[in-house]
Amino acid sequence: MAYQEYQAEAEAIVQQLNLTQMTVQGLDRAVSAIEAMQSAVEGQDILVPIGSGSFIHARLASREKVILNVGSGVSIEKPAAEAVENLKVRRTEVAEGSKKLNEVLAKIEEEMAKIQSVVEKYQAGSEGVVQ
Amino acid sequence: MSGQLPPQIQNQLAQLQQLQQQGQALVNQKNQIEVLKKETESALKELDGASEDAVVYKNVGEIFLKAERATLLEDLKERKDLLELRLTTVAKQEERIQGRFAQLQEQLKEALGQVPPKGG
Repeated sequence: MAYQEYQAEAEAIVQQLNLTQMTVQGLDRAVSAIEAMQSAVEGQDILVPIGSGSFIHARLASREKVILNVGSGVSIEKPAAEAVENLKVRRTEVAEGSKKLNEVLAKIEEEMAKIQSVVEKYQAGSEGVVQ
Repeated sequence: MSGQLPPQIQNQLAQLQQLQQQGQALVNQKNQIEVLKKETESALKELDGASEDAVVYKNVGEIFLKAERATLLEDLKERKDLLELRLTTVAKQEERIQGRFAQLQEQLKEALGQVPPKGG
C-alpha cells in the first residue's frame, strides 16, 4: 500500500515537473522575444501567433512597451527592460520550485527502493520454503 | 470479508468511506482556493506597486480590455475577500466532516469490539 502511495505521489510530482519545465520554456521564449524586439524598428512588419502554428500580419507599434500578465486576469504595461527583469525573476522562482520538487522526488524514489529491497528479500526467503 | 460483518457495521463502514471521500474532495477544493488566493494576492501586489498612471488591462477570454488601475485594484480586493470567505466555509465543512468521521470511527471500533470472531 505504502509503495503504491509513493508511486502515485512520484507520478504527480513528475507531472508537476513537466509543467514547470514548460513554464520555464515559455518564460525563456518571452524573454527572447522582448530582447529580439530591441533590434527591430517601430513600424516593422511582424507576424503574430494566433495558435496552432498560424499567424496574422501586424506592425510593431512599440519596441518599448510590453504587456505582462500578473495573474488573476490582470495585465500591466511595463517598459521592455523591466518586463525582462520581471520574467527572469519568475524564471528563477519556477526553477527553484522545480529544484525542490526534484529533491522530494529523489526522497520518494529512495523510499520506494527501500520497500522494493525488503520485498525482494522476503520473496527470496519464501522461495526457499517448500510447502 | 465485509460479507461476514453485520449489515449495520457494513453500513457504517460505507458511511466512513464516503466521509473520507468527502473530506478528500474538500481538501482538494481548499488547495485550489488557496492557489487562487495566492495568485490574487500576487496580482494585487504587482498592481499596487505600479504607478497610478500605469496602463493596465483586464483579460476577458482571449481579449484584453484596457481598464482603470483603481477599478482593477477594487476588483482584486473583492476577489480576495470572496476567496477568503470560501476558504472559511470549506474549512468549517472540513471540520464538520472530520468530527463526524471521528465519531463514526469510535462507534465502529466499539461495534467491532462486540462482534464475536468468526471461523477459527
